[in-house]
Amino acid sequence: MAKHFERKGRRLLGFNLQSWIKGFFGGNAGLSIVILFLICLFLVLEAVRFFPSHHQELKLSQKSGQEYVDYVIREADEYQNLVSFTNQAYFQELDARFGIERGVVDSFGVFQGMIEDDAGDEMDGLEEARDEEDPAALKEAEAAYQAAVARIVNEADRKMVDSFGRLAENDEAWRSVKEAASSYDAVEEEIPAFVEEAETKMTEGMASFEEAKALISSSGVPLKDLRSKLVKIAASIKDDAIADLTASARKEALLEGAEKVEGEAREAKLAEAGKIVIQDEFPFAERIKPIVAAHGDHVAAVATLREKIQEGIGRLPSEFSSEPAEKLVGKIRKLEPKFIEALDESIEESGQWKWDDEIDWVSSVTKFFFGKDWTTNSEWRQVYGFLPLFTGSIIISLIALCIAVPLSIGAAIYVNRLSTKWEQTFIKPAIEMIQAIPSIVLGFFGIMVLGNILLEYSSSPWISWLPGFPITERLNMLNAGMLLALMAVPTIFTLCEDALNNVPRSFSEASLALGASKLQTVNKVIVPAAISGILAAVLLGLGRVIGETMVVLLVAGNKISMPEWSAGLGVIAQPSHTMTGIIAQEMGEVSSGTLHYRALFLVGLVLFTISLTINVAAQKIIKRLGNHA
Amino acid sequence: MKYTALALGAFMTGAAFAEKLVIMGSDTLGAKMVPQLKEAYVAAGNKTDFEIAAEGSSQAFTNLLSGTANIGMSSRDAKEEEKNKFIAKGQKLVEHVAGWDMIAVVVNDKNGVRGLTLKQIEGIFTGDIKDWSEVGGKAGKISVYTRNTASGTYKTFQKLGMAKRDYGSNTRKMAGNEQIANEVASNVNGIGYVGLAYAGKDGLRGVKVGKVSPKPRNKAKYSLSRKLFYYTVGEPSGESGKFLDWAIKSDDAKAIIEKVGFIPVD
Repeated sequence: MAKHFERKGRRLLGFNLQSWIKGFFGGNAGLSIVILFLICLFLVLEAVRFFPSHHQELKLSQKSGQEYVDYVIREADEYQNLVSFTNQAYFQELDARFGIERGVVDSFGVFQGMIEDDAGDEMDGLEEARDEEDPAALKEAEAAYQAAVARIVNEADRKMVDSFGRLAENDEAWRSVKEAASSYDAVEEEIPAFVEEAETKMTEGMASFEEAKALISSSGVPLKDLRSKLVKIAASIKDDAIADLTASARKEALLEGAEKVEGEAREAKLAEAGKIVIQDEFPFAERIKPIVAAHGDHVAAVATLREKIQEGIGRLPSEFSSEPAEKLVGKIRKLEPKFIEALDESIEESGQWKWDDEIDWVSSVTKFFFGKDWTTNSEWRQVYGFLPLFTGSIIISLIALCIAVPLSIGAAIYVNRLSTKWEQTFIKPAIEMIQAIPSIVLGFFGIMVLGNILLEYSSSPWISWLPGFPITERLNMLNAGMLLALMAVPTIFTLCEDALNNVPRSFSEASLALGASKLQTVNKVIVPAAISGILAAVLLGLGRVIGETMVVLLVAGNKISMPEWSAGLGVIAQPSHTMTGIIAQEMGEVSSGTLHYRALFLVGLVLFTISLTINVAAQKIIKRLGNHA
Repeated sequence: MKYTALALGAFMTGAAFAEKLVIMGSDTLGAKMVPQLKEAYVAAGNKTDFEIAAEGSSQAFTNLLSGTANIGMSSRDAKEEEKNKFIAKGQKLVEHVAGWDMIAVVVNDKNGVRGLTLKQIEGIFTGDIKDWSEVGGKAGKISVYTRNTASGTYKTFQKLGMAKRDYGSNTRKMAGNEQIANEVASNVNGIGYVGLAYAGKDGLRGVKVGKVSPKPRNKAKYSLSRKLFYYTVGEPSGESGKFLDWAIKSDDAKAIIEKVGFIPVD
């Protein structure tokens, strides 16, 4: 070939055809490297610029007092936890002690609603007839109303009315409720004596619990009021400060826009531009005063909360008819000292808080990498905490590996060492075929099929003891992990099989010649010899799953918060969000150059770094441990 | 001859598109509903040239005032100070109800909870209320499904149902109405919000909000609904009058309004 070209000797710009072809291929290779380099550079530049903007944002949150108000918000949230437990305990106890009475009141309420909805015309007629004082018409209207009510009550579906089944085992109570509803006068809204009795019985029986509950729920009112007040002040300071920061840019834009239009529109734009005052510096010191001054109120509100909640918790009953209620109250009693301690700490810290303290740039890094909240498009403040996304990705990948590694290594060993030729020609391509399933199809399958299977069968007795089972929602990390395992199997299987293939024949022959069985040979000779390749295969499988987007976006449940570790291994059945999922979900709403935009790029950069590290590590392992090829 | 033909052509196109209707304002209306109404209106043989800009309700009033828009779109009614500006200029701002935007709060139909107060809804979506037993139901941890942050409904619901507080961190962010409906229908402890059109799906039940059921006829009483408006300066006449009349009253327009998830005026 080469000679053929040279013999022709045609030259273009001093190069012959062969050099041109060589140049073409070399150029292609070079171009890809340049493009790769440019992408990396762009990614790094956009991502790294997150930190200065984040620092700016943190400073603004501090100077506008949002940081201070966050103390109040956190205290109120913690407090709300206790309120929630108290309410749960109260209603559990109520159900256990006055289930029938509650059922009576509830069912009657449902009847009441049905009558108001469906007998509205008859009610209007009755009301009119009563106003007119015509006995004949009144009688007719009353009869019409009663007939309508009787029809509604008789036709009502018992399951619908007694929706919690509280009266399921008590036909007598059910009959009485029906009777009470039939004789109910919806115009005067007279509650029948039977229902009223049940209500009184409940309120009297629960009086002491009710009182304690009321104390607990009222104890936080001053704090919550303070929260709403301060949130408004801080948000307005921040809005004004941002308007001020961008004032000069807006003025310029308006003046530029005015150049392009004529007449009235132009004058309007010029007038608006004239109105913008550019201040040298935003008067934070002046504006922050109400927030700084609110510290006294804050201390007072917390003191009230402390005193009342301790009293309220003290008054909670100590004997229960319901076991869950007892547990919940036990939990409240256990949480109480921690809560009080946290309150004191928070008050002390907020007392030392200063709006003009210097924030060092390190916090803009640590708050991103160790932040536990990711809140965007917020009415309050944007928070970019990477940890929940990272944890989600890692847990899902680990689930996937736990399933995929034994499966694929086992399959590889079987196919490579133990199977017949016929099995080999069938199993290998079959496993590799899995790779051909598009991830969107897998995701769809996960929602529609796997999710429902998990939901349905996780409650059956022979597996419901597993951690996290029975699951309540079909979009969760386990579902996503199982699908990703399916995607990782072909990668790990193929690479593993290659590694096993590379073990020299002489190894196994020597082992067999020494009298070892086939299984002994695999366990003691082949696998140890191929271990570096197997490890590398697992790592590359991990790289495959951690970067997968579509499946996790659809199936992982998209809840951005730290997993509830208290569930132990059961966390696998919780929903979560992931690094890849957040980029896919939120990139549509970010405008270029904003903090949010850069935050997503930074997540991307971290993801890229992780993938790169995994790949490099896999190659290092092969080199270091050496493959017996 | 050539020039005459050209001039004639230019004249004819000019005549055909002489009526230009500028509609500006809210993106709730301007994102889907009004552009689709425009398509249908043009397809029905009306030779009107439209210009639609949707950057927010306030834009409607500033542009009506300066005369740069014929029709304003707004997802809230005009504030007093906005009306005053028109009065000062000797003009009258006329309001036309374009339709209703209603959000239904849905639970699984195996869940016994039939109604919630607005305060309870705020508590559930902000994360203050964590268990169904707190709102009268059977004990079970509440799973909250919401739209994702890019959605307009995400913000609207925050305004109407959550006293503008932030969503709790335990909320699951779903890509659309359909996905929320599916997940709530499969999760006994689920709750979410969807456009009214999706509330009738199998396995779901729209809860009463403050004793009012989410039904089109309750639109005025229901807390999670709001009116959508068109505004004009003075009673609309000519092309804008014709378009508004069609967009509010015609059956074709009503079908489109329903299709994009709103409720037409009856």
